[in-house]
Amino acid sequence: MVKVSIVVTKRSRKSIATSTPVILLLSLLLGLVASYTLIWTFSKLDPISFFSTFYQTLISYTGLLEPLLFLTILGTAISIAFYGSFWNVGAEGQYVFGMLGAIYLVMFSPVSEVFLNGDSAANGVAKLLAVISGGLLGLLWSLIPGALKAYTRVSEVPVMLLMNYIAYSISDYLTAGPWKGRYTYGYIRTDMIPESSRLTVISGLEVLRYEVVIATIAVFAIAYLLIEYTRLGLEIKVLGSNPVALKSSGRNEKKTIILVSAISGFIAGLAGALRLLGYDYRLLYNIGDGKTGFYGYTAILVAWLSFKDLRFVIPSAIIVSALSSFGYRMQMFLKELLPPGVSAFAFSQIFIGTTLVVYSLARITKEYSVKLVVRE
Amino acid sequence: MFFPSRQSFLRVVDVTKRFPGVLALDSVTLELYLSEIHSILGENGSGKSTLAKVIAGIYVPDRGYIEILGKPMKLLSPVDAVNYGIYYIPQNPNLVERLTVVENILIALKSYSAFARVSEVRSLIVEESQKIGSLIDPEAEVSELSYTQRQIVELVKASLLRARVLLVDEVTTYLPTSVREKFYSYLRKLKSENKIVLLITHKVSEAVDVADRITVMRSGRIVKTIEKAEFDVDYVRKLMFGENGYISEPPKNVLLKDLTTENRRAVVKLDRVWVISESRGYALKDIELSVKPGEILGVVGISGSGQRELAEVLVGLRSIRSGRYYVDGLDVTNRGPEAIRAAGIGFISETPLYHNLSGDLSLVENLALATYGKLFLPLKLLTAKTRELMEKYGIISTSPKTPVKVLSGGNIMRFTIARELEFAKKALIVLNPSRSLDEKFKWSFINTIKNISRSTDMSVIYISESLDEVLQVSDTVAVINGGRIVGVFSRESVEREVLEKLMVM
Ligand SMILES: Nc1ncnc2c1ncn2[C@@H]1O[C@H](COP(=O)(O)OP(=O)(O)OP(=O)(O)O)[C@@H](O)[C@H]1O
Ligand SMILES: [Mg+2]
Repeated sequence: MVKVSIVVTKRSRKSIATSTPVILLLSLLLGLVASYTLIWTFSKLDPISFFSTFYQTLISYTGLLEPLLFLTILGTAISIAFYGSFWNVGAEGQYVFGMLGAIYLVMFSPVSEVFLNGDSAANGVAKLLAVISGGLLGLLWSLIPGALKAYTRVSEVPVMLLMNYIAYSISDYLTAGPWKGRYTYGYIRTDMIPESSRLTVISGLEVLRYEVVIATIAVFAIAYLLIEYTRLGLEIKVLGSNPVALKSSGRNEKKTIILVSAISGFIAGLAGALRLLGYDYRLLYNIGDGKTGFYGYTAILVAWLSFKDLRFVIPSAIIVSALSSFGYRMQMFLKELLPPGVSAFAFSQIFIGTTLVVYSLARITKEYSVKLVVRE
Repeated sequence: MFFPSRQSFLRVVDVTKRFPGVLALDSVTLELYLSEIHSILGENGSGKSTLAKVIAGIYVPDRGYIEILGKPMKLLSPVDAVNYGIYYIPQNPNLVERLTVVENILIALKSYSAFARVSEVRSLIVEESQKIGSLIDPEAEVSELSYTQRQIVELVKASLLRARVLLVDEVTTYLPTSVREKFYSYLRKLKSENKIVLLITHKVSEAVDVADRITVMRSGRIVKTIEKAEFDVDYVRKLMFGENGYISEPPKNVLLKDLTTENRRAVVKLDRVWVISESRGYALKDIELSVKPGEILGVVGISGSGQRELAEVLVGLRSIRSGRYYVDGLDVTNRGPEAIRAAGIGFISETPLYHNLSGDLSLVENLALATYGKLFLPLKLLTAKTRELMEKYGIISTSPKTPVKVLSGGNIMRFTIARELEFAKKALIVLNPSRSLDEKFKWSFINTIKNISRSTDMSVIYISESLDEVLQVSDTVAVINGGRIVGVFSRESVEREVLEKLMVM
């Protein structure tokens, strides 16, 4: 009898084959090949048009850049929380709260005056304040599950899933009630924020905003510094790997849980504020209907794919945003080619699925070597 | 020599295993006969555990193979090895803390698809654990068991799996004399049933007492395998540590401190402390202890008498039901480890990966956790300091940035000792530190804390299951039994026999 077994051993040496860029390319490539094979069995679509669509997605990278930036910020927020075993599935709610914080400051607070008749310097400061107030609201929203976990040991996961819905409802309540706009042609939504409060479009790359690019770089760099070089970062890592050791070395576990929830929520809130000031310009009613792009949820995938390693947040965000834009393009493209009854959506899902599986496997084989052994 | 009765069962053939920067096994060849107790001796980091793990299919060797009954085998996972009747009792018991003993054993039996009827297993646990050494309550939660008791649970597991080759990694270090005798006869019984015991240990005396053959390892190589006729403690020590790198005797007692004239306030004082155990009544009952500056208080007792709980109370990890705890006259009762640590009290645990360190993080980061850096970590300084400690305490690690968990058991312990000695200023709480230390390092550690306490007035509470060590290190000896302190003596005024009696009464 032939017996095949799979042997997993921890890798003791790293090789080029398992370096990040190789893993990225490999997973995208295999995802492409798998989904093409499947499509071919149905539609005999020629490879040229298939691969050229993909190529187009890549060179029209602009569609990719915008989700990439937001997923990087949110992925960083969640990843930091993961280091401390604080399972922040509430980034979506914190992101919405970030939007609320920003629009409040810009339209309903005393600061709103500045945007109507301030000079550009005053505007700049006020914008910064709006972004920070978004961050602070995200922080507050995240502090609730953080404090509950620290003081009552209630698991943060169900609490935050619930709080995401509450955040949607609060936003809808404000949009339909106190913050309802006057110039909305009968739609339920807030008015647009004044031009002077919007973020700066980069000319030539209209999908981008200067402030968002700068914020993404700053958030990632500061997060990296925090995790690698500061005492707080160290304590967050110990909290996540051995909380007993954290306590017995005289550190305050509760304080660390609260801090990690606050930091994570602040960053997610920043992302929401940047979104509102840079792209959305107003709040829409029924925000939970996909009007957030579900970035807060998608970013969980980004953080998960980076496996508690901050350096992998960016490649993971690249993968996830490339997948969503290509999947979207392929759907439109395949609609005409596929026989009736076969869903284009399914194919884009297969592509996304295959790529993610390969990427995860490759990340695992970076740490472990897997051998197939056949014996008689 | 000719041994007609000998029948080879398992052979390790030319096995090499390399970890980053360390050659853990270097062309090791070893033959095990049916019906023998074979001891592996070697200092910390010499490759003992790695060898056992290769035999148990936990590590796949880089080169070489295992032969069973003359046939080369590929042992690619522990399940493979268990199918051949090979079972490894790890140095660090591998049990789920939050589950009971029965539950843990059922999980193991399931994963090797052996039978599993709860009531049957429950009574087998009672039966087997008594045979092995001491009774284990099947319904006790593992988190409440002492280290030794956890190892007995592992042994019960092996016995229920009908192991033919039992690889025992440092299990016997702390068994009290009575239990040890029982355990030895258990091993001899296994031998009479034609089984093989591979006994990994640091204790030369133990190997000489119980083994049929001894294999000595140093730096991943086999120095020599010797037969019973050649057993001689000094000779074996020489093989272990090299011609002159060994200490044949424990150090002579440094002058005892005269504590009677000291009228100083106690550094650490427990005043009628009661502590709840998770499942059964009180783990500590009415504990009165106090330690003066520079005093070394030994607390000795057999496994499971409350030592672990006592250490956790002193560190602040466990809450006090009634009574008070003072550090330097300051009431720190139930104020958590923060206040206690801030007072400069260090802690060396028998399970450093549970109590002291984060295994996933590097030596540097674990040093940082307890020492320097308020806002930013001075990584350069910390790395240099780690190197210095590695040098000073003989810690073998690929680099200061290696995750702690990949070091050998003894090296992890050495690192914990190094860090805590660096940190502690006022007092040091020590719980069974020598479990995974080789003899040479153990005595040098004991000397070090004696010298420090003499020269800096640092107090030490040395909690241990080893009476030898406690007698060697202490100014004052307290005996703990069933969660109570049943006697406190000054070291010179007490006979060993008195203490032994109190420990087991
Ligand atoms: N998984 C691993 N990864 C990297 N290095 C390892 C690993 N396991 C062991 N080593 C190294 O290999 C060497 C031998 O380790 P091993 O655990 O076999 O020693 P040992 O003889 O059991 O020592 P001790 O008495 O301290 O338990 C040590 O230097 C150790 O740091
Ligand atoms: Mg070992």
